[in-house]
Amino acid sequence: MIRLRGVTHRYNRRHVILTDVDIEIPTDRRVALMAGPYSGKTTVLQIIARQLTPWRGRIERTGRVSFIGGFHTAFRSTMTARQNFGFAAELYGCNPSQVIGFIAEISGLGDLLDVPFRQLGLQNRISLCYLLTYALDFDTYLFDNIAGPWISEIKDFHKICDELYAQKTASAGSIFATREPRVAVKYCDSALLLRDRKLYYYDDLQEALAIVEEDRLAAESLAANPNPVPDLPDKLRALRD
Amino acid sequence: MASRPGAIPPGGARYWDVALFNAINSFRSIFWHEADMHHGRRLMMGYLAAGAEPLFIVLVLNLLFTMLARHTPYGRSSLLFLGTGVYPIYMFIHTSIRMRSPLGRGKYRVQFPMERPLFVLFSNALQHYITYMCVILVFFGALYISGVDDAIPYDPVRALEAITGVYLIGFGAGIVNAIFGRMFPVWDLAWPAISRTVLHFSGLYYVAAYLPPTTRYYLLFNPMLSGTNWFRMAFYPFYPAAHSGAQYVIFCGMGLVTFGLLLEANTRQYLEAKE
Repeated sequence: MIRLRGVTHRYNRRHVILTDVDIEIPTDRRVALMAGPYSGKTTVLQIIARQLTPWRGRIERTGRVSFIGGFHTAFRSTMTARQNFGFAAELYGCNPSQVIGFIAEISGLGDLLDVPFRQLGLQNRISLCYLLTYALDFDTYLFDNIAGPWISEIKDFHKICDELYAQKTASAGSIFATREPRVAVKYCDSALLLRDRKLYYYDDLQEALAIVEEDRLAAESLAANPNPVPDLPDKLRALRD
Repeated sequence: MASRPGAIPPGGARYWDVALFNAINSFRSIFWHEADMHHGRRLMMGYLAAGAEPLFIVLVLNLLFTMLARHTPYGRSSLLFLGTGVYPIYMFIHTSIRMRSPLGRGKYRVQFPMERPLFVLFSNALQHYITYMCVILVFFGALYISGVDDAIPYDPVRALEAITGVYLIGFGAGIVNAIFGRMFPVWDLAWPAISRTVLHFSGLYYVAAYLPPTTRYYLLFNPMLSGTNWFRMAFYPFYPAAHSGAQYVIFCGMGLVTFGLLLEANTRQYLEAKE
């Protein structure tokens, strides 16, 4: 279980992401974290992953929560991919040789694991970082928008990632940040909605999607008519008539 | 697939147990990873770099003493007298500079979430302590082999206590510097220069007890002078250091470490948002 206790986070006085949020998120469900664009999905994910410290409040995690899928800034560019992945495996209590073997087998980039990380192409680097996420054992995996990159030098890499996602989430949970209902349906079976600076958990994904659709329609109508004429009180309406 | 001894057992987790395992595991992994990065393939170069600056200072000052035909202020060997001053002082200078890096600017962005700031800080601190102890052992060992019999301290425990006390001050100053440097970037440039002035106020080339009382009174507010005296007392049985106290060194060290850790904990969110 991931528990948020009185969590408030803001970038500055005007840009508030969360206000006094108290919620429990199950670690064994595939949860879609949904909200509109620029509303702070990635920030919430970073707070859950401990990549950001919330402004106020605390977060309790009773299971192993991953870093955000494909996280690559922690790798030392002068070290080889093997050294970097070995360190990540040890840090997260896994067997380094098993993790590196898994990555080498799936990527087919065994030879490139022994060159400095900076000498690898950008696509290979990102692909390997996603594979590392799947190679480590977590109770909850975190993903932001994608389960794997669409552009990769590894053939059909996004399909491989989809299969790995399905395999991993068969026995573990995930939190998948997205604003696309079709992505949520593909990867998740419950939802966490970020609305009005609060988080709401829905066990039923369809129920959450209906609310997302309502919000979307409301936003569209507001965009089409930004200053609607308010309903006039009865007396004024009578005078007007 | 991979074994996971730190996983929480289903139904009835012993959280403190898992937390302790994770802490030890993280600390161990970070320690070896950092060692690999700093010394890794250039192992000898790493240690040489750590010991080169104090050695250079000792040799230059010894040359000056010889050229000016000046006798060592205390004991028989000027190299030993200078070494017992330079190495504790450089322990402080280098520790206070190096401890800035684990808590440096934007560091949280380039670390795995499992690399908690305090684990990184303490693993770096331990590594630096071990490195510097090796450097000190090599210097005094070489001095002993070259014929300076007093280079082996007559009270090794006191020498170890003194160098650890000085290290504590450097460690605390390093944490405070890291935070100040993130708040005021110019501090990062200023501190290496400021810290080296300590060389002149810490009894490197004089004996504090022989100074005029007023000068000595003010200089003794500098805990590094007490630290140098404490270290020299381990080499010279009758070194005049009645005015300085080991307790003062420990008190300053513990005070700085406590202040630094509290400062780090209370400014972490503010600095992350600022960066």
